[in-house]
Amino acid sequence: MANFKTPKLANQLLTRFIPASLIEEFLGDLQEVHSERLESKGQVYAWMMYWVDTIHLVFGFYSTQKHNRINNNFMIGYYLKFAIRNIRLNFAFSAINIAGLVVGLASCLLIAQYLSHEWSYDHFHKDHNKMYRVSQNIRQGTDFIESAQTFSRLAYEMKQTMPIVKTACRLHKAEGNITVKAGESLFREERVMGTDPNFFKLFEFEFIYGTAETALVEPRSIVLTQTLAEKYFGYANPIGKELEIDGAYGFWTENGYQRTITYTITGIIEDLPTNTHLDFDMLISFSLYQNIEQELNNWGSSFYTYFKLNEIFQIDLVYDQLPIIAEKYRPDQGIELEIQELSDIHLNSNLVDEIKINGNKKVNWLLATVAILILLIAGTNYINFSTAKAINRQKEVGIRKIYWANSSHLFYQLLTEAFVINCLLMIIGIVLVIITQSFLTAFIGFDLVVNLFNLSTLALIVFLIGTGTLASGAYPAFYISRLKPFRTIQSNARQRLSKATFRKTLIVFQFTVSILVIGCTVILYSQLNFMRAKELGLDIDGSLVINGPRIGFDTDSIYESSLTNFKTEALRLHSLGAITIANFIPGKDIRGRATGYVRKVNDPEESANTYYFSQVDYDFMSYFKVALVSGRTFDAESPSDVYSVVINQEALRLLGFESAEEAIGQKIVYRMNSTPEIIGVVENFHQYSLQREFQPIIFEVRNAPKAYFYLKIDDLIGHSDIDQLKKLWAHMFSGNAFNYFYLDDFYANQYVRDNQYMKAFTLFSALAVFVATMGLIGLAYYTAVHKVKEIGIRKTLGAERVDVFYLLSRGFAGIIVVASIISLPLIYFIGNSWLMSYAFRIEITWWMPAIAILILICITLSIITSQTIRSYKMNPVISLTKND
Amino acid sequence: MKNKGLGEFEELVMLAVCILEGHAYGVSVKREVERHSGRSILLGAVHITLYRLQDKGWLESEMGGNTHKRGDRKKRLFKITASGLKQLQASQEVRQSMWKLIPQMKTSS
Repeated sequence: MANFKTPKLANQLLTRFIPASLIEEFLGDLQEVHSERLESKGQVYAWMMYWVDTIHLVFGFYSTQKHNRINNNFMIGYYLKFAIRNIRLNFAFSAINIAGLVVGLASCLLIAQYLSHEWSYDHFHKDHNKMYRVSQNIRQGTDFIESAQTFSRLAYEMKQTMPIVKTACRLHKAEGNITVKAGESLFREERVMGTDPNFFKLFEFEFIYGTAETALVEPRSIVLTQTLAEKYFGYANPIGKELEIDGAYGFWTENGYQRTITYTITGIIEDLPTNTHLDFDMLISFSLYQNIEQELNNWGSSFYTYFKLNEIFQIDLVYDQLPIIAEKYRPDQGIELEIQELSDIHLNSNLVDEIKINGNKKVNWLLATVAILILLIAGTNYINFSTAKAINRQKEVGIRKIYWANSSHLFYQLLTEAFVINCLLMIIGIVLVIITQSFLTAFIGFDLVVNLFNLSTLALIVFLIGTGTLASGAYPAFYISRLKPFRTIQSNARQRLSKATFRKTLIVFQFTVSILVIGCTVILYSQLNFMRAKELGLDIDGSLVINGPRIGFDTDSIYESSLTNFKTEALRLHSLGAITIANFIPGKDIRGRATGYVRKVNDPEESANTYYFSQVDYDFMSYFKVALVSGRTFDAESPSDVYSVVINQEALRLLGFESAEEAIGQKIVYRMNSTPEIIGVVENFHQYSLQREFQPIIFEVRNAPKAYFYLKIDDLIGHSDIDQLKKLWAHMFSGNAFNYFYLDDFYANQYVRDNQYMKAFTLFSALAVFVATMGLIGLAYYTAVHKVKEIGIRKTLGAERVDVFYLLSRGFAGIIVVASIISLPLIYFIGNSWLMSYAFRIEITWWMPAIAILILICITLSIITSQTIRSYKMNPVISLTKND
Repeated sequence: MKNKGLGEFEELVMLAVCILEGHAYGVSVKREVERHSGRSILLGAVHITLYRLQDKGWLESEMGGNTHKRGDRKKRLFKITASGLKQLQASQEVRQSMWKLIPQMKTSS
């Protein structure tokens, strides 16, 4: 017989799934074939084929067996009926189940929708996988500044020297104060970009009027988005209409610098989709310059360079060429060029000078994890209840088994029950999502809108129902259907649920996740709080900012006198304390950047680093309370200060001075071949978000810088003061729009994303905890019901509330300890990896996870207490005589 | 009901049962069909088909002799029923009559 040994496990499987009446002949036939194969084809083949046959038989048998069943349609109706009855019978359990799973499913839907949006960035370009952006690393001491902007020659050179590059295109942010005159009205615009005429050969946007081929070709042509066009011209076709734009781009003519240029509208495109990293509503073609290359070469590294390849595999060739171009046009400046995939920019690029704030892949993954965890917790609840409930259902199951049901009947019955519940709560979940999504979008600040009639959403819903049914139903179904009938109906021989350890493991899992999400939220919150409360080194409170005037000053002296008048007049208002003017604003990158030449006078050129330079007036340092380390700040009484600079500590360090005192009186090589003297060193301040390190800044003084007017205001400022300011403005700087905002708001804007993330996390971790709490309530309730007789007896014998409390809470202490131990390292790991993205960050201290654990203990205690009170109140006579 | 649901494989299986005349059980039917059709068939497919045909009343079966080779297990021997035979003939006739209607067999190219 040894020759014909068949795989044991396969046989067991067959015995399990194939009716006993057929098993003999099946096994016989299988063995006969097996023995033949053993002789002819060898052991391995025979063994494999035995398994193939087995699996085929099991599945095949099941699929045909349907035909043998008496009335299958009847059975499904029957399962449904019992599913609904069971939900009603155990309403409390079911309600908890449903509440938990609804929240889980709804969260999943919302997060999935958000993530699919985040991942879809810039995928709408047909050739997005052949499209790239070049970024530039600029040497900074031993480090690099990674910038999204490059020098202008790059795109031109790529197009000229690399045939594999199909198109290359530059994009340039037109910054400063841009005023648009449409008809008689003035508008101030922020989102204006300049670009090469071939922009639409690279990027695909839908045209409403005009065509991609012709839109930007003509000199002085301009393309608007739909919204902007409607703002200027209503709903009429605006093609061919003219706009007078001041402050965006200009050029020299024989009459001096011409900064107001009249453009012709040559195209209207649809508003940019939300899932693009580009950000503009007006595109100005560089074709306004007679010699584009010559003009743009003077603008330094301020261009976004995009290119499209003919074929995707050619990207390596481009990589090889880039260092050559960098060396040719930016020799000895330590510049490295890098390539980013277009569709990668939103999630994977967080460089200096990005067009807009990009997404954060890490946070997205965390959100996805939270969504899955919530669903898991909810599923865990279901499994817990269903197995716990199984005790109550043992008799039902026993009777069923005795009459007609085999385990597969019961399996399907319970699975149907899970399916019905899952469908039901998916419906409730969808309704919940529809009701809350606009509220949530407003609360969190990013789009959480679920489009129900989208194929992928429907697929997701089906998938969630499917996995939900399996995850929540399969285990209990499997478990209950195996119960032995004779033991279950013997009234006093209750089958003990040996799976207590399994359920405990599930609770440990829930507790771990709860502690983890609360802990992470606490860390997130502390970091944001830290950033908000951190001393910036710069007093930005109570400042009103006005965008400086741009129109109507042919010479500096006219501007200066208007400015002096404005200052004098404005300071007469009681609510104004001081005024200062600078060409940069805290919370936004400083535009002026000196790369590759700034150094101590006697140092070699190679030691030059990159510095930010800015222009301020004499009051700037005192206005913003910037602390002086050494030397002095600019003094209006000292005329030579115009030829001096003040630097901050970071610049001091990069220049290579040992101490601030040493730097005073030293000269540096500076812009326009000048060698100004350092007269003072000020403390670093957070010019930019705390995500960034301090930046090296060199300050120059001007009598009248432009760009930003800062007005110190007190709390009493009212509409009438603003109105007066406005009048004054119109009077002194006529023709310039009066546009004001508050500096602290503006500064806080950098943290918009972080705030959104925090809100999203707070919300979803609260939901996770909610679902876990539901589970806990259910389980405590169940324990109490299960022990009702025990409690009755104990009470009769004189047990106090405390004893009952002890009885009910016994298991939980251990669970909390285990969960805490597991979650602590996870909190540290996840928290730290997130904090790493901030240059200035908090340390994770013991109380952060402690808060999480404490919250969980409180929840647990309150639930157990309420159960204790409930069960203790019960009259023992009733609980003991109750027959179940 | 005429000819309803007699698939190609079912027909092969039934023919094999007829050929084997009283010795038709899972393995022998599988072997027979494999030999004539030249393709390899899974045992399960044969079993499933045999049972389906039995459910339709075209085959009948009884438990038969055991051999050492089968681990001393009995086999189920299948036999064709009267209605099964009729079914088989009907399907044969349909084919015949259709063949006759083809005027000329010309294969293009």
